[in-house]
Amino acid sequence: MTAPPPGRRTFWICAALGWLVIGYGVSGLFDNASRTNPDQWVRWFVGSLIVHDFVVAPVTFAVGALVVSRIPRRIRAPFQAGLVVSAIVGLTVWPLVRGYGLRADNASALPNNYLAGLTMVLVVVWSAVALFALRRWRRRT
Amino acid sequence: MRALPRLPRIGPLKEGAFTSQLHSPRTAALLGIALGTAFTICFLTGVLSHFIQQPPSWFTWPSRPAGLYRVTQGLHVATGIISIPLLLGKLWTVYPRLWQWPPVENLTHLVERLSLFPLVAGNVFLLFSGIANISLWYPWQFFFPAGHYWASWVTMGALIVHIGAKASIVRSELTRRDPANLQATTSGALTRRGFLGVIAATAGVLTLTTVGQTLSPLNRLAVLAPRRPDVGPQGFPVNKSAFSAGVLEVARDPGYSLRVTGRVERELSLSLDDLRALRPSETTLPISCVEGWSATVRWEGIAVREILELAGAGTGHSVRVESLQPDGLYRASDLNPSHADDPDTLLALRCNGDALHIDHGFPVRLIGPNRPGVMQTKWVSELIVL
Repeated sequence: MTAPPPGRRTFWICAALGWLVIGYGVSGLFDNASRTNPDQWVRWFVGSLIVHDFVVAPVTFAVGALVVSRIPRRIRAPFQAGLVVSAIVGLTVWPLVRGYGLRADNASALPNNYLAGLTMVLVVVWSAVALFALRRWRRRT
Repeated sequence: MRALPRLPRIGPLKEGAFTSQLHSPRTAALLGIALGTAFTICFLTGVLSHFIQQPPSWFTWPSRPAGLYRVTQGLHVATGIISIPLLLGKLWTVYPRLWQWPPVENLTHLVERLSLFPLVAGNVFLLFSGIANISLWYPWQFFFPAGHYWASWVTMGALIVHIGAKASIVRSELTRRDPANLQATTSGALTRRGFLGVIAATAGVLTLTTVGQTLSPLNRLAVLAPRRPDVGPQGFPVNKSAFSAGVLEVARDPGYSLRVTGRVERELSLSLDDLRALRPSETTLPISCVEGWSATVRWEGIAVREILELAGAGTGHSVRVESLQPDGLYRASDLNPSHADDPDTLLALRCNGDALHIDHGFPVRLIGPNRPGVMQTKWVSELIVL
């Protein structure tokens, strides 16, 4: 019998080790059930995958298709760039903007005006987009 | 092998459903390396914080360097935030493969594809729950640190399987010359370089607008940070208020006394005036939260070492620090010998030049070098020498 090719060997070593570590995580989850509440945990874990793969991704591709069909070719790239930055930054700070974590007894928690902050960031981002788009528009005409 | 049923070729299963040239192994490899690096730093700094708070028998966390914990947890949150655009970009790049048909080609492919479930679910779960946590938003019914911690092991395991499965393709993608993909695409859409640049720019925007919560020179840019190191009573943030800890009355009780018990030669009961009469110490130490913010504060009080000597306890002991707080997981913390004997570990009575604000732990709080904020116990009622 010949030795497996090096790629193969790496694959199986990593697979064995990796599934062992996954097993450690799962056993820790159930050993600490009073804190992890596995029933709830699994719902959020699986839910994360479903929400990404069947909501976030399809919406992204749908918007992408719209951009390709509606936005003129020569300013398409900066427009896409602006959308990507805005969507990811907006999604990340959404809980802050909505103030879900605000509490009456602690004014030092979430002290900023996050809607104003996000607006400022978006103004800067779309100003950059406009500059790039203008440059590309001029160059190609 | 039996023939698989033919599926109707519609939607994402349609031939050529995904037209972008960016869905390439090379884009995936480049983003994968960046994400894998960020995730690994995030994982290691997270596990470290867990070990510091719940030390296994073989683990001892030293009291020096004083600012090490602050750096590791600043990194933990910063690498987590950077991972958001990296992960979303990576998942977008490889998304068409979710719909590949047949779904499984052979045994190695099965092992690899099965690991994608915990990998994708785990990564999205960790970043979502982490962001919600620093935003102080808890829409789930599990204890966040425990749920986040065990999910990180599951995800790390899946990442190890994934690295083993992709190592050779990543190596060949990175050593191959590939000038074609750098040129402008025919549709006028982003090129690969443009796409990677946008993902990097997003990471940059998120970092610049948040990292000031721990890196004070960037404080003024931190418009999207959940905390400002200079905002709060006495000029720095509070995590748990006296109200939410349920100590508003007991902490203001004029009959307050600090007890020193356990393995001591003589038990002590010290009033605030007794404490103020002891030899004072001063130090400048950060208060550093696992949630990624930190602030440097000037503290005045009595060294724990000084009080232990008064009680006749020798060096080399661990000490449990108990709070007036009636319940909660963080109502007490342990000082290991390195922390208990460090001359900068204080029972603080004052900070930034004034008596402690009740939300910062009046009448007495613990402050020591290189410790997580949740282990800088506030409203201290008792030291128990172990």
